[in-house]
Amino acid sequence: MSTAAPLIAPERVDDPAEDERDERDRPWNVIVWNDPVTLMTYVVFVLRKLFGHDEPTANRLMLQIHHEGKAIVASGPREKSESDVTRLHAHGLQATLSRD
Amino acid sequence: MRLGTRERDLLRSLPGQLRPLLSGDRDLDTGSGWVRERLFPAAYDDPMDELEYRQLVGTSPADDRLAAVEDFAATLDGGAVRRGVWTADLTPEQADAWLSALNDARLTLAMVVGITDESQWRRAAARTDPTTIALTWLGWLQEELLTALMTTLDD
Repeated sequence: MSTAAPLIAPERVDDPAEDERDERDRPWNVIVWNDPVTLMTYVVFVLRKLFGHDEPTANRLMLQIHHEGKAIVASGPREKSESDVTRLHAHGLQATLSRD
Repeated sequence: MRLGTRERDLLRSLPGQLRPLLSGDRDLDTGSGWVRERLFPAAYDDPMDELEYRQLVGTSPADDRLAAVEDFAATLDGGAVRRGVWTADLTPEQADAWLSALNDARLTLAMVVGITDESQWRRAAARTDPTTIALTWLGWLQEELLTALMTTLDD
């Protein structure tokens, strides 16, 4: 019997800590949903005020919300996204956060 | 801001209706949902995430909206009336408070009137009940205010 250490093909060892980091790093999307009451102008105003969008960008997002029912208006870490949702709620918009 | 005294009276009736809804002292089942669910929508689909989120934000969403209603009410109590016309100069902070209060009032009245999709605005335009007329007029007023405030934003 050989005393030499057997040759073992290298294999990927999953590092749970790495998986957790990957999970934490996945960005959260801030979604604004269409509603039949909020004025289009108001949505544009709030998006410009809160996110600093220029008028064409805010208009494009507003029209996407209006026609498609929702739009992602920001993405980022969970804490920042929660803060964005809170600010959108404070302005009366229907906003949620989720990850793909 | 420049309004007829009757319009000002209508606006002065709003804080009394909004305060109990925002503070949670009262909720209103309109048939198309509870008003507080629309005023304070969920942030998460997942109930546990939502519970944590609600604990995190605490009462600040309601407190901020109530503070805006108080600023709105205070400016309505100020200003000057001459020949049936009320005028008041709004600071940028007061204008923000007006936007907030007007928006909360519109969201609430629209639920009472039963606006659950955009096509219902056409039917609402033909209605002559005071709530629907108030809802339409508040939309016009909010639009006017927004037109003025848009010029204060930088591109």
